[in-house]
Amino acid sequence: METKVNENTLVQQILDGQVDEFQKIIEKYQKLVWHLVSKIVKSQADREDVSQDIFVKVYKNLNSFKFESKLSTWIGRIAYNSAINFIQKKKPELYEDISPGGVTLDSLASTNVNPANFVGSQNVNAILKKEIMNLPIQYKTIVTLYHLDEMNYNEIAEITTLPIGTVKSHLFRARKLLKDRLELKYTKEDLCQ
Amino acid sequence: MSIIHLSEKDIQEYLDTKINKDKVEAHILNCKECALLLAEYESLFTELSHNETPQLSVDFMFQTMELVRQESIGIESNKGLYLYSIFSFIGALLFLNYFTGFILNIFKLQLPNISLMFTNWSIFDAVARYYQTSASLVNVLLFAGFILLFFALVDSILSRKRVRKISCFSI
Repeated sequence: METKVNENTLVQQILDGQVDEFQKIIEKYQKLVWHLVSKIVKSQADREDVSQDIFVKVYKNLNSFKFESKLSTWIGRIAYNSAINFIQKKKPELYEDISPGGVTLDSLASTNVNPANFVGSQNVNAILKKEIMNLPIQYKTIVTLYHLDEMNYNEIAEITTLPIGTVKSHLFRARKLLKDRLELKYTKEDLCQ
Repeated sequence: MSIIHLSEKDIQEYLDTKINKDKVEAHILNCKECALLLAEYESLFTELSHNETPQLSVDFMFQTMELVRQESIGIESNKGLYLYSIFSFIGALLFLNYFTGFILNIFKLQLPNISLMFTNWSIFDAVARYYQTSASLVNVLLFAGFILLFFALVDSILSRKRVRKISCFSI
């Protein structure tokens, strides 16, 4: 509650002309914006530009922020919509971006590495990252918001404009998909160690 | 007797909210298969919570703030521009009126018959009389209009310079 009051005061200060106070908003929400953008926009080069544009958009539209909702979900929604709009405009280029650096499950399966060496190391994390990137956009967005940004179903539903039931089922399917894909590479015992 | 295993949904819900805690924990004590599935999901959840994306560049904040500052100057000068446009328009009308009597002429030349249809005393004549008796007020307004126009011009030149300076700096 106190955080919300502080945030409202901060927003009011910015609206009153204290532009430098906006730095606090960037500090607080750059992680959220970055998580969303990096899951949706494939090209590393574009990610920072899109994130910057999102914050400029947040600043420009701050006067339309309704103090009833949380600032995090409002910013999250702007970030999600902006990133989606960006990839819709740049679809052909992004398709090319996927292949060079992207490692698919098939390519991983063909490598002769002992799975036991992977467990507990950074490689599981790296493979998981790649598998997350191979998920449909809505799935990876929901997984990221839930696990990394620790948002609840209501907040995710507000950001993605999906019904809560859909958010829950997408989250379940995404995690099952990730587990199944990792199982293709490792045995169950390996993953649980 | 066949064992009814926990569904993956049950396990995910248990890990999310600890719902059906007793049921799940009692079951996994006697079921290796479900215990393994639970452990598998537990490790996936842990990995997901630590699955950080690459870091933002060090100067992200600085660059973004520069863009925001430029935007704020743009917004301020736009706000000013609207006001100045309104005042300039009023000033221009007063200016024209002062030298040509343009407002009065419009009403007098185009609408006298309409006004006479309703009353012998035309509202436009009243306006004309008001203008004649308070000519000093018109002069004051006219002078204010000129002052505003002058400030609008100076401010628009200065704000453009400010934006250009910031752009060069950020490059």
